[in-house]
Amino acid sequence: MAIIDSAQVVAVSRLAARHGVRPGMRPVSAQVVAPELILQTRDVMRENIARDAVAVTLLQYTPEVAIADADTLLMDVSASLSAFGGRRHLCHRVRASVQAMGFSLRLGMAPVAQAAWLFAHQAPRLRRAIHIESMRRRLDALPIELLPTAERYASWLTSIGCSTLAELRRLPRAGLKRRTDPALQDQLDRAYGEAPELFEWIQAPETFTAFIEFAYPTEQAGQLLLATHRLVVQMTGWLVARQRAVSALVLTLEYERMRYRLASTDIEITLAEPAWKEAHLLRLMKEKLNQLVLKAPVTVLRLKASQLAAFAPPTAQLFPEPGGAPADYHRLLELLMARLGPEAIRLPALAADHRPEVANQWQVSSQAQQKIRADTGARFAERPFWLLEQPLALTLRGHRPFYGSSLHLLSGPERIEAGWWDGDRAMRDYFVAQGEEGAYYWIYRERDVDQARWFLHGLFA
Amino acid sequence: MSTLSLTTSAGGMPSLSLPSSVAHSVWCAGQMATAGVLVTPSGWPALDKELPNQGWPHRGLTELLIRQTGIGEIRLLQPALRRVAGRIALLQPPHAPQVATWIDWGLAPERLLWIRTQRHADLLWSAEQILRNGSCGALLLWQGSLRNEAIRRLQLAAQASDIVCWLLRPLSLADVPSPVSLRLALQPREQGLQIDVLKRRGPPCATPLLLTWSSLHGDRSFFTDGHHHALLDRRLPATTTASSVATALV
Repeated sequence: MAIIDSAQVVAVSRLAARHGVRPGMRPVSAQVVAPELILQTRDVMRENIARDAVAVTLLQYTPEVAIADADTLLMDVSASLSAFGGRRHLCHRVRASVQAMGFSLRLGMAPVAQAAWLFAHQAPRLRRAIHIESMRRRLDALPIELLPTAERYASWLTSIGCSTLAELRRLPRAGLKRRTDPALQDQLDRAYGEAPELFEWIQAPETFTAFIEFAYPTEQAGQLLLATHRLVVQMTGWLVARQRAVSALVLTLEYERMRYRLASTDIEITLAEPAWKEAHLLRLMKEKLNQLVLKAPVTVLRLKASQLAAFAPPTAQLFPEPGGAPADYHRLLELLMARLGPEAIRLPALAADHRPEVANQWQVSSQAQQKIRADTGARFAERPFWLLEQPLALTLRGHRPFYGSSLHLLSGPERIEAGWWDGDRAMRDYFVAQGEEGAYYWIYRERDVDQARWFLHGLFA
Repeated sequence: MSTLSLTTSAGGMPSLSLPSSVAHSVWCAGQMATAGVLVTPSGWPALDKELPNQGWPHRGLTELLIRQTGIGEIRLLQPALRRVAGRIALLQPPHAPQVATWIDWGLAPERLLWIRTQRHADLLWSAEQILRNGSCGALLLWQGSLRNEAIRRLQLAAQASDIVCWLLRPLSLADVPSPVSLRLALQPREQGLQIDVLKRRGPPCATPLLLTWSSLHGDRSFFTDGHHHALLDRRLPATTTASSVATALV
């Protein structure tokens, strides 16, 4: 693939470069060199949107990010170095974040922004300078063409024997200022840290919505997941910048409007505990996406943080708690719910009723958790651990209830007569019975019918 | 370079002195494995004696083969569940667990977590997530039809976590080989449970173990009091709604 702008190739993909396409070629000649080349017209607006997205993402490393020019961002990381484990680690993380968004980058690091800018533009390899002396030494060797204002005078300056920044600095200041652009001298001073720099730091927007428009409509899960990752990375940056955590988010999948006329699909994710960690959010989305059946190829993926909460930094304990932190447990519940659905996870919610099937309530975990009054003093009557959801009618054999074998009654009856008030009346005599093989059963006999009918209701586990 | 040395102890049994890093993973066939792993005592002294390291292992799966549901399998695990810290996840239990029983046993109801899955793959996935997350203290998993690859995978996940994990399967699978390191077969008996140790890291267990419910400390119920001798059967109570019958006889 190659990008063209005003009838000239401006950028080429790695594959295109291998086929011999070079920047500066005319589109026609590029297509002669590589007949299968895909030419794409440069879209400055989309480039700017992408750059702004990267800028928001990078806000997680420092609150001070500024846009230098069309494709360069400046970050003031002097306060972030120790927080992220030194400059090497920070560079790795910045690189990983930007690459996760699907962009490539060149990094330069220096005590002065203008110098960092020069380092980043200089060569594909990473340049870092921490001390001002070593930075100046490295700047001295740089060619003058790197300075954006010197480009116009490059041939003139080279012809007077001035090709590096060190040689440029040796020229008389007044003469240089008069004969070239005054901005050239300013830029040079700023790069060497001899003139102050001013920046306009970007501000994170009040609300977060981001989208990705696919070049071609896609129905591949992998591609959607990759795009989701990009959006989540972006959101992480925004959340950290605004010191917020997200408690509910919506992922919207839009289909080709003209062709399918389908309403977009919204995937809503509600979190039990506000989160801001990229890995956890991504894992939840992955499970949700895995469950989704696409109606049509997706053109636009949109992510919106619909509910926010204040960012609560984790409170560390001196001694690790057994069984992990409560946050781990919430994360587990969310993950299970994302895949199995909210009805699959149940927590006990005991109700005050004599009928065992009513008393033994289990609530769905997404509901507000009600506290169970567990009086340690209150003892229940003997109850089996397993309760059959539907009582099983037992046959009688030789006037004995029969389940696998004839059952012998061991204790009882325990009379339960309740529910006349809600139409679900139970009039039962419960017995504990034992089968011939030794297992214990909880059976009852209905009292309100003429014929004695026996039911199995529980198993003593 | 570490060296192995074989010395003969006083009893005539050769004893192997190994570097301490590997010593726990090597044992003689006649001895019980004493791996340096955490265990939770089962609460049954007779059973503890037969288990490697005297308890339910924290790392690794324990397979319980039960004749049928409701023979006392949870009662067997109850002392261990009481000791385990953290939540107890029940994955795909055969029936609804009754919270009242749980409270009656003196266990906190908040610790129970009941997970129901629709598909087989979801079940295995959930088990793996619970093991990997590590915020639960114990996991009980009911599943009969598991392939050996799936069990092996669960076993590996259980080995990497610090969760006591029991896999409950029907007794009919006792003859099918399984990759788990500890397998017990449970069968109901008159007032207790018969346990056959099918597989363990140690010598084969020749005699089955008999646990009686009355040895469970602090338990008061019909299991323990009453019929200590012969089972005295109670007469079936007469039907109470006899009024209509009387008119029919006239």
